[in-house]
Formats: sequence, C-alpha cells, structure tokens
Amino acid sequence: MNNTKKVVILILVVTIIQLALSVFSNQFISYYPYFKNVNLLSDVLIKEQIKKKGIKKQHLGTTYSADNLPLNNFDAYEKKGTLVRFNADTVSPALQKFNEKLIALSEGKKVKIRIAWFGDSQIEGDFITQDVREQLQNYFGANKGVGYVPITSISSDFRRTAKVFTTGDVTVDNFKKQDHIAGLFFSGYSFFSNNLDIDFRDNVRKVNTQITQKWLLYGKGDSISVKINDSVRKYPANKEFNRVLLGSSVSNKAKFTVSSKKTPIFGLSSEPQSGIVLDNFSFRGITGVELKKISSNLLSEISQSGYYDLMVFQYGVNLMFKPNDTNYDYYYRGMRPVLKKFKNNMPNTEFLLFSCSDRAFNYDGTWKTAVGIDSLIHTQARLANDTDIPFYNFFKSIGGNGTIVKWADSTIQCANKDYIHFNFRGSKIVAKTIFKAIINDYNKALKLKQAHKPIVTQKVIVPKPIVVTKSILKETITKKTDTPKTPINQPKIIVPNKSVLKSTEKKVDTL
Amino acid sequence: MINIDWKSVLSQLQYDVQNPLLFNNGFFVYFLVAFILCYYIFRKNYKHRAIVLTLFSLYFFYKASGAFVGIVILSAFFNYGISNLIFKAKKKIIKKSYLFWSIIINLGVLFYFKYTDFFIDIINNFSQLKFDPLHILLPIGISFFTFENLSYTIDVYRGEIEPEKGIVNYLLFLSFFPKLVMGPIVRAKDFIPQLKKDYFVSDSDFSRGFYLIVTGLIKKLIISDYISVNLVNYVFDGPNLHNGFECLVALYGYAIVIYCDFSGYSDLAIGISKWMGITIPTNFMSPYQSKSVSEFWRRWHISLSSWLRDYFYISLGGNRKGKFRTNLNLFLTMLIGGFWHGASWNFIIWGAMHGIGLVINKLWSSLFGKIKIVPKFITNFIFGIITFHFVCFCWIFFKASNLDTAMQFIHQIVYQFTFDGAYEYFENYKYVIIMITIGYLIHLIPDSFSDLVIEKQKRFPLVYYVVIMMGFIALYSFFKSAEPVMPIYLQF
Repeated sequence: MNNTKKVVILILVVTIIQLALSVFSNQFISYYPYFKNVNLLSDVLIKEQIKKKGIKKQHLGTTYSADNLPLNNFDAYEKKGTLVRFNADTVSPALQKFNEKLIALSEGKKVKIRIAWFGDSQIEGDFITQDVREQLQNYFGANKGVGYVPITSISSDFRRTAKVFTTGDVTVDNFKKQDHIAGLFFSGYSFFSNNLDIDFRDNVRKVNTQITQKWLLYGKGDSISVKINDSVRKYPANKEFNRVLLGSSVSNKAKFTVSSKKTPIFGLSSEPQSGIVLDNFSFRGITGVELKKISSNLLSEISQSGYYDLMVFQYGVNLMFKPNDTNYDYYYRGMRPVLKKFKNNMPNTEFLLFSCSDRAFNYDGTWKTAVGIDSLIHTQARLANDTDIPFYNFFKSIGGNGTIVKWADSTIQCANKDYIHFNFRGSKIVAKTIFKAIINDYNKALKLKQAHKPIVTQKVIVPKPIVVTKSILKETITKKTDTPKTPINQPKIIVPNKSVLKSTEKKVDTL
Repeated sequence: MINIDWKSVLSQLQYDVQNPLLFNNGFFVYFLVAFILCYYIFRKNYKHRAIVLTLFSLYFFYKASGAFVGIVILSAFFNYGISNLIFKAKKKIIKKSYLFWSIIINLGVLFYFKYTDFFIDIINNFSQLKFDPLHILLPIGISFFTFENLSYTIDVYRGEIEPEKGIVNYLLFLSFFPKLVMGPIVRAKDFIPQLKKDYFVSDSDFSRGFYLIVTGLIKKLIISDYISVNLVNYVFDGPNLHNGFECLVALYGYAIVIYCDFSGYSDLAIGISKWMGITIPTNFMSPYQSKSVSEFWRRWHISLSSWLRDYFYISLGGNRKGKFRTNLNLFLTMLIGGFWHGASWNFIIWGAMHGIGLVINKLWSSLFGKIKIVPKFITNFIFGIITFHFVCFCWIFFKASNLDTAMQFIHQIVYQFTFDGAYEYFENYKYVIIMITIGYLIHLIPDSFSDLVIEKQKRFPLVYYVVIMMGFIALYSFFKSAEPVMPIYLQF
C-alpha cells in the first residue's frame, strides 16, 4: 500500500492540532505552562507590552551642599571604566595613598607597593591578576615577581606564573572547614607539616639581573624550622604574621625544607626589592563573607607593618546561584561587617570593591544576563558607599548586559560555556580594562601632583539622616532610568557646620 | 483572540543570521507542511516533483545560510559541467586533467572557507610574517557537499556512472534539505535514480520513517542538548575547575552527546527522506558496541568512512601496495578524516589517533587474531571496553577547544582524580546522570528490537502516530524550559 497520503495527513493533523493549541494558548498554557516553548504563533503575534516586575531599588541619589555642589553621589556607581568614591568628584582619585606611592615609584623612588587581590574561581590560577600584575609592573618599571603563592592549591596544576613542588605530608586547613587548627591567612588556607620539602619557582619573566626576594610567610604558633642547603634554623612564631627571607638573589627559585607542626604556614612570596607586588588570593565558590574568619589581630598586625597598600575585593558571581534571585539584602548584612572589620583594623590600607562581573542563565532556552544582576551591583555599591570604600563597576566596564553570553558564544571564545568564567583570552581583555581604570585613577593623582594640589583628602561624610532623598522605584530590570544630571527639584541638603560633621564622622566610624 | 503581526511574518520568511533554520525552529513546521503539500500535489510527475524539492531545498539552504545558497548553485553547475566534460573526453589524460581541476576547485573552495584562518595562524606562528585572520563565515554543509561533488566526478572518471543529464536533479542531489546540515554524505549513483521512480511510501517505509524521526528528535533535541548544556559544556570549557572524577563523567557524557547529536540528525534526515520515498543508507549502527577500532569505523558515520575508503584510501593504493603502505594509507586516511571535521590541530590529532588505533588494530589481528584462550564473550567484552575507552579518550581532543584544554582535561583525570565531593556531584547532576544512562540504554537497544517496533506499529491507526508525535512535542517543550543545572565548583 502506498502511504504518501498518510504522510501528508499525519503532518497536517499534528500541525493543525498544534496551531489550534497555539491560537488558544492563553487558555492552554494555564494547564501546561511549557507550551509557550512550542507555540507556533509566538514569532508572529503582535507582542503586548509586558510590564516587567521591577526590582525595588532604593535610589540614594545625590546630596548637595547649600551652594549646590554635589557631596555624595551614590549614582556614580553606575559609571564604567573608572574607580568612584561616590563624591561626584571627577578630579580627585578614588585611591589616594596608593596613588601617591605609585607616583613615588614612577619618580624612581625605592618603594614597594603591595596589593592583595581577593576573589573566587574567576581569578583562580592567577587568571586576570597575572595580566593586571604584568601590566602594572610594565607600566611602573621593570621589577617583577609573582607575589604570594600558596603551598598547595586546587589550581596549582594550571597556574602558569608559579609552581610549587612539595614532598611530604601536609595538612591543609581552609575556609570550608568548620574548626580551624590555627589562624587562616588571606588566601583562606594554612598548611602544617612535620617535614615538607618545597621546591618553588616564580615563572614571571624578568630581567636576569633583577634581585628577587623569596619569603616564607607563616602565622602564630610555637616555632618553625627551615632547612636550606643543610643548614637548619629555627624561627619564633609569636606574632600573627611572620616571615622569613629564604633568599635574595637573581634566582627565581627557592628550595628548602620546612618543619611546622603547630605553626600555620601561609605560603611563599616572591617579589622584587622595590616595585609592585600583587598577591592573588583566590578561593573557589566564595562570596567574600568567608573573610570574616580572618582574625582581627592578624589584620591589625599586618596594617601596623604597612604590608598592604591596597586590598581589592572581587566577588559576586557565586551570589547568583539561582536564576531568578533579585534580593541580595542578606549579602549586604553578611558582607558589611567583613568590610568594616578590615577597614577598622587596617587604617593604613586602602580598599577597592569590585561589582560582580556578568553571569548568565538559561531563561526558556536562551542564555541571558542574570535578572538579578542590577540588584546585586546596587547592593555591592551600597556596601562600598556605606563603608566608604571606592567602587569599581566591573560589570559595566567590561560591556554590561549580555557580555558573558557574547563572549562565550562568539567564534573566538573569550568565556566558558558556564557563562561565568573568562577563559585566558577573556581574562586578558578584562585585565586590560581593569588596568585602564587603575591608570585612569592614577592619572588624576598625577594631575593633582603636577598642579601642586594634595592627593590625599578627607572625604566629607554627610550625616546619614540627611542623605536620604526621595526614593525612586525603578521599574525595569534591564533598562535603567537615567539619573538627572542637574539637581532640578532635588531637595537641597543643608550641610551642618564643621563641628556637627566631626561628631557625625565619629559616630559613623564607631558603627 | 490572536493578532498577527504581518511584518513579523514577512521577516520570518527571510534569512536571519541570529536564527538560522534548523529542524527545531517553529518555522520548520510551516516549511514542512508547505513542502509536503506541494510534493504531494506534484507526485505524479517526477520532474515536477524534483523541481518542487529543489526549490524547497534551496530555500531551506537560504534560510539556514543566507546568500551562501549561491555557492551550492554555482558548485552544482560547475560539477555538472565538468563531469560531462570528463565523460565526453576521449583521451585519459584529458579526463584526468578535468578531474584534476574538479578536485582542485572543489577542495579550493572548501579550503578557502574552512581552513584559511588555520593556515594563517600556522604562518603567523612559524614565520616572521603576520597576517590578520579573515574570520570567514562557513557556508552550511560545505564539507558534506564538497565530498558529494568529489565522489560524483571521481565516479564519472572511473566510469562507474554516467553523468546526470538534468541539472535540476544534480542540484537537488547537492542541496537535498534533509541531509544538508550534517549529512549523511550521499552518493549520486544511489540518490539520483530514486528521484526518477514513482513517489511510493510502503507501510514499512512509513513506520520506519516515523520511528527514525521520533527517536532522532529525542536523541538530538532532548538527550544530547540536555547533557551538553547542563554538564559537558561547563566541564570541557574549564576542565581546571573540575576534578578528575567530574571530568571523567563529563567525558562519558560527551560520548553519548556526540553520538545522540550526530546519529539523531542522521536518523531524522533518513526518516524524512523515507517519507519522500527516498532511501538514504544507515549512517550509525550502535558504534559503542564495537569490539575494535576498525569495527567502530564500520558503525560510526558510515557514509564518511565509506567515502574516505572509496575515494581516498583506495586512491592512495589501499592494501594493494604491501603491508607498510597499507598501514600508512590507513593512517593518512584517518588523518585527513580528522582534518575534514574541523580546522584545528585537535581534529588532526583526533584523526591521527584513530589512524594509529586502526594500524595497531590491524597488527593485533594479524598477530593474535586466531589465538583463542578464553571464551569469545569474555574477549568481546574486554575488547569492547577497551575500544569504547579508546574512542572516549580520542573524544577529548575532538571536543576540547584547543590542545591546551585537552591536555588540561587529561591532566585532571590523571592527577586530580578524587571521589571527594562525589555525593554533592551526584546530588547536583542527578538528572544529567539519569539522562546519560538513558542515552547509553538507548544505544544498547538491539536492532532487532527496533525492527520489532517498526513491524508492530505498521498496523496501528493514524491516531497512534498523532498521539506519539504530540507526546514528543510535550516532552520537548518540557525539556526546553527545564530548570538548568548549575555547575558546581567543588573545593574541599
């Protein structure tokens, strides 16, 4: 029997049923919501204006002095390509002491500038940071070094900038464990071993004549013994943060044996005698809240020694683990005390908070930027604003909405198909963007210096009760309403006199 | 009621670079309905039918690849013309020179579109010269129709077929829409004669076509897509973020993804063709049940492996020039086969590994083939496992975006293998793992079972087919918006 008619009838019947269901899809979808994915008319129907349920964002707006000068401009957090201090000041740099030191370095002075760069798996294996480091070191002189390197790490196998080979049993303590043997370092790790042979190599390329210092970093315990070339020396471990110079030579290697049963070994640092040191502190899957486990004493001690000039916090993608999350107030509550703790205990260090980068989810078959991203960035900006930490809108600076999808799906891939991580190519692009923002900030400082104006200024903190302006609810997720450039109809804030300001500052500081 | 946006209807008819036509587009349903009605109306006259099929195929090509439809038309005219010249030439040297130009031009076009950037990259890496990559877009199906053109002109040269007299039939042979995107590679000598027969679909053809269409769609759109998006892509893009155990599961996942994707598409093409009264030979036969690499290539992408055998391996001398040359020819055939899949070192390595696998396979068979120590089912099982894992190992190079990623993937399996976090892993990926298991179970279904289903459903009324098809649509719609499985990055 010839079934040609049967073929036609079957195709027609199935299509007619499907079309009928599509015509009555409004009714049918309530019984079977997934039908929207196979609605044959979805591409040709006149689309109704869908009112998206917006995220209620508290719009802190701009506060103005009596003479109409902006004092606190929260909306500056939306700026791309620049570091902001929420003060609507486009002349002063966001980072001050840090830039002063950079200028000194560029003038040929022997200064060492150390940056701690905190992050999650996005910077694992020294991704992004290796390129930022290289660009900074190239820009400010030839002295190079990889900076901090942990004894072992989940990413050590693919980290190109440094290698650590170990022989011997090592006990690892980290952020994820409930109980800790001793204090953890910024990396989220500490290591213990009775007898550990360590062969360390700094793979950052440098000129052959450069002297590189190789340090062993460790914490508080009983003592630590280090054996180099058959000579054993015991060192005290009575401070929260201790370090031993293993060697200072042109070599990029260090080979030694360490014995440290009760003293936490933090890691190694390979650095030039002067120049820029950028330490990568990556820990997979965290949001930054975990840094609360770092002891206040460690922070204070490090601050007193002036070890770090700048600390960068680059978190966020791990907060977006559910596609439809739009409320990150819990993160604000968890992260604010962490930032306050760091700020209070480290008065000699400046801080910089990054917004999250882009992350996408599969919404009904199409990968799109997470719907909650604006809300998260707003939350992070509030954190920075409320703790008086400069902010960098990382998301907008790398291209904003749709960037990670474009990068993961393009022929020349720049991001992984998890729509979270940049690959080596994407990391380089991202690092260049970050570097430009840092240099942009540095150039502001340089201009002030050339004009003989002070770089370090005190930020005027406006008392909280007066800062609150009329709240504006933003209605869309993806389209942001533009902030008025001129303060039309804005309530004018009367700035209290200096004595009031001082007392308020105190109050703010003790919060 | 509904409000149709007629502007959208018009724009739907045009090529959209963001949304090229695929079998799972809503537009394909309208396309298929329009096509089958026209095809049925003109069923009596094979020439009219061929014109309808050609026009629809070219339109499909346009909707899938835009202006590149011009290339397939030009290519058809060129090969149609040159094959006639080859046929008419009296002297062998003239025939040979026409064949030479046919090969050079067909491969030249393929090389230009597919391999230019690859060679620019090589020149940039190995010389002082620096060229900017051209980022040339690849016309859809060019790898397939280039090989179809070559087989045709070579067959004419060898005197195995006479050139086709009607250009429409030849154009249709090249552009036939069911096999356009991912094959199978069809031979003109099998395909064109079927066009001239009456449009006839037997009970068995109808049933088999339906079975292949539905199972093909399930394999491609449900199993393959789900595992790809929710596990395999994450791991292969960043193997360093996953431990060895996770990488290994992703590898087993990928083995089923590539099988379901490729064979699903082939089944769909073969099934739709069956409903048009055209038989395209089977392209996949449960390849992971193979007990040797050479058996694998008799079961995997059969239309390609047989093409390579007939037109490359045999042209090199096949097994007629001694053992060494036989092995060398085998190796070179697989190397070229690898390179055909894509312009990267990874595909070359993948082909080379299969080439070495075939050579070892051949040597092993000649040395130990006749020795029997243990029962055959045990050796079959052992060799089956070895072959499967060899094939899986080679897939690492096939899937990874570059050599570094492939090496990282292997490194993770060898040096970072741990069951730490296995519970969390299973908890997170349970649906993906269930899907992988289903994929392997489908793969293990013996052909006799499929034949039984096809035979039984022949007697079922039309309503049965409607219900099954609607069931598939419901299932597909469910999986299309299934909550995505987020990657977990474990650190303990």
